[in-house]
Amino acid sequence: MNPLSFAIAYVHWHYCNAFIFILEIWSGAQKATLKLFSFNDLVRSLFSPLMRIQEQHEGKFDMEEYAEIAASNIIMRLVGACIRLILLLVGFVAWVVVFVTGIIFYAIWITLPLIAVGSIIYGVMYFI
Amino acid sequence: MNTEQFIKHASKFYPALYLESWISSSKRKTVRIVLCLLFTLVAGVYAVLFFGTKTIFLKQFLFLTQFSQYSNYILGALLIVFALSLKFFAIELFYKYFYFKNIYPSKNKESSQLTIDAAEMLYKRRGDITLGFLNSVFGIYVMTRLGVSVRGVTIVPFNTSEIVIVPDIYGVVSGNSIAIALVQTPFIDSLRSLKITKEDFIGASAWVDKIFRDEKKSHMWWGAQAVRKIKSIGEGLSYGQTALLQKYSTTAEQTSEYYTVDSYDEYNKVPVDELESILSKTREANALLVGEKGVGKKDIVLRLGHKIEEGKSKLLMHYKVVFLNTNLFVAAGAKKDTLEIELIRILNEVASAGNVILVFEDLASFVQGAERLGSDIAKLIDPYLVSPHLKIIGIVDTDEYHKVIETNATLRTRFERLQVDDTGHAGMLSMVENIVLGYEAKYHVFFTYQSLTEIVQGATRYFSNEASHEVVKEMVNELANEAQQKHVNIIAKQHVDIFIENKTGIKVGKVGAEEKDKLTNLEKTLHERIVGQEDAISAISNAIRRARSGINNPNRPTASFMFLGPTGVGKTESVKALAEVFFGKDASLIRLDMSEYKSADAMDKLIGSFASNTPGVLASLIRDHSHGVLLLDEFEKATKEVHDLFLQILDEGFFSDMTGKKINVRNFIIIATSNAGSTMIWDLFNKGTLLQESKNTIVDYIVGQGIYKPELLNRFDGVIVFHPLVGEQVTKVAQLMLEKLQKRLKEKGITFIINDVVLQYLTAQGSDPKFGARSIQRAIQDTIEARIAEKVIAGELEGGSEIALTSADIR
Repeated sequence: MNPLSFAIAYVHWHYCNAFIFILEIWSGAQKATLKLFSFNDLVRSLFSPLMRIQEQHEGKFDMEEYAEIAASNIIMRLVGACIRLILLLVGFVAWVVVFVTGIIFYAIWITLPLIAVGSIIYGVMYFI
Repeated sequence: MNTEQFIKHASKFYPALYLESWISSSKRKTVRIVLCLLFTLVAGVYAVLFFGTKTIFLKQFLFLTQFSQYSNYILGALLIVFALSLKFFAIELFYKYFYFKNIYPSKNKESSQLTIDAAEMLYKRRGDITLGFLNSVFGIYVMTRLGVSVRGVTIVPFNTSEIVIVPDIYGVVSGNSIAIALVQTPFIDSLRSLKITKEDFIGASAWVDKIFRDEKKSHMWWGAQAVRKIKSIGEGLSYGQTALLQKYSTTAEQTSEYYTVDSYDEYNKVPVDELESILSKTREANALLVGEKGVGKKDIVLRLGHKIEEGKSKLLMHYKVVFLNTNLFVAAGAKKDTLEIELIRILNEVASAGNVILVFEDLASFVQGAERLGSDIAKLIDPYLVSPHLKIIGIVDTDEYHKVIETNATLRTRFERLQVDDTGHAGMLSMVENIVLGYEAKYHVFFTYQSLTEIVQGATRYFSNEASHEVVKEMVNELANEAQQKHVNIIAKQHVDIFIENKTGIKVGKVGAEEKDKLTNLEKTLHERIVGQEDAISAISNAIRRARSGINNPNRPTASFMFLGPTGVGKTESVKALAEVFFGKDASLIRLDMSEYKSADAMDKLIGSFASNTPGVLASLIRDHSHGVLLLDEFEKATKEVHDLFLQILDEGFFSDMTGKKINVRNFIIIATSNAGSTMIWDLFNKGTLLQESKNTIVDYIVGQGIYKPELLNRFDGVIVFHPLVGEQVTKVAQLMLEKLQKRLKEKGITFIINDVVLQYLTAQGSDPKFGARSIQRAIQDTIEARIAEKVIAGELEGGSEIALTSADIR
């Protein structure tokens, strides 16, 4: 193989296989983001008490105590839901960043040979 | 797909291989770093020149403005460096595309899937696969693991179309597939000349293939494995806190063994999956791992931890394995009430957390420790064991299981027992292949593949009364540590052999010149102590040579013989001589007088009694000696049950003690001596019959008398009939015995002269063949030693004196 056939092989790869390869990395990055913020779990347990902190009624039935415990548990669930929603939001933003970065990367990738060649030519011109 | 087609397919990888040969990965990395630094520098200078007056930070570098006349050049350089950086980045991605190709098997199994390692071998030398292999990174690494240089391999040409390349089970042709194909070619002869076996070559290649795959996977951050391992931020919000538990526990990841244990793979799949299945139950999800000490029970729990961490356990997703430090817990509790309250609080925490698998690492000790404080742990934790909110694992050694758990109805029924056995040779090799890499990095040493197989073989064969799993780990650790101290970089098979020899006293590995001489002249050496008995000497010598060469059956005792013959013919003396010759001065001769095992409690005495919790004599003696000679004197006097025990020992090389623990006797030469059939031996001898020719008659007689079962005698490697001593043989025995006395007197400074008078006297005394050498021994003691003692006491003999007894002395 000589440098010319290498260059041809590279260009062929750059505009064919590379797209699939980048897609693999891009989708991996998105999966990693989703896993990091555990979207499924957060949605599934959205209204669960935060860190399972819950009070339980013991002994005889007492309306006042029962209401207190119920209120406290509802608050813990609401606090849990708030924190989870914040995390979901942060996670969503992170995913959008990854998604948009991917699109930008694709755009740069298509024009990369032109950018590289253009920059070299333009750079050399400054020396002349 | 034939080889030619594979080669054609490999050509697709050629641009990447060309790139790698032109500029290697490490050099490309250096270039990328240099370009990055250069870009930062040039961009910085450019920024100062154009924005220096506008920013406070950049004002510090205003001295650079003296170069403002070169601003065009700087901008040009910036663009060129930028372009080069982009190109190098793209080219690296280009290489990585091929590098990571087919690491994870594709769903499309129809298409041929090659890894870059396989492509390198197939295409690098234009179809010369042997050369391709030896010049590839994979091939060089395999040969290094086998302890040889690729330069030492002779290349024999062959027709490529003759070989068949078989993809692995996932349809991938990796470096290992090519290596397997190569063993069908004359390449195998080249390996043989380098003393590399086919099995070692294939094993090393499979190992290297796994190392390469794991290495690639670890760099593929976007791959399925890496993504599964990511810890979720939101996970903690859904599960409860375990503050008290943390005080007394460590998570699987925090244990020292977690990163040295082999990850979840095909060799340990079954027990891990079984454990996962038990823990996935909705109620009573409690598993009890029972097995011999050091068999790898904890490793199974740690592998489950790996499986969960790698996201491969859908049933236990988000769970974490937590080991409760029971010793610390009991010590901290100190009092019954404190212990119980703390335990209940911990169990409540675990139940409310909802993602903890609680492990009692030594459940039996914990139960016993609490019992000493007056607490009944089983009763206390019973409600939790049936709860749907807890998943508990108990770990217990087999003997402790029988003692503590089996006798407790609650613990016995609430836990589902999971028996853990040795993983066998393949499983242990896989384990050692995994852990050795960590030790190599820690101690800066390198293990050859043969050293690993020798470690596994040695652990199972020579450290047989300890759990092989643990022995293997200890051997790897000690070998690596020792090598580092001695500045040895490569640990080869011979280092392992030396290590085993030093630890056990058993000679393994190559036979040295001195030892070779000793083994060749064994008969002569034994005859220096034994008079006559050619058959016995020959049988013993052959057994020793078989054992030393390593060709004997490793699943049976080293050798086993039944010595038959009248008293005083040298049966026991032969065994002693054997022990001394084979095992040296520190002879490991275990002698059991079997007449002590003729009562009803004989078996309890030998293997121990569960009821009285007493260990057995045989079990203890074998545990204390890794190898040696086991002499069973007067074997016929033992009970039938004892004979039956030896049926198993002689056949399989092990027996089970009172707790069911296997005791290995495979490194022992077992010799039973017996006077059974002595009368018949005498009759035949007196008739002038050759005893070896009449052996069957003697054996039939013994079996007919009901002394031994025929199957027991058949289990011995040989039944040897000892001849009664007559004539010149008696004189020779007398001579040998007197030489021993002479040696003892020499130590006291007295020179004892053995003359004809003494010899004739002893020969006459020993001529009663019914008592054999014993009558000579008695005569020496009663007459010769008595006379000498009288002379010593009378002051006639002192240090430096010489004595020769006369006929008057011994009359």
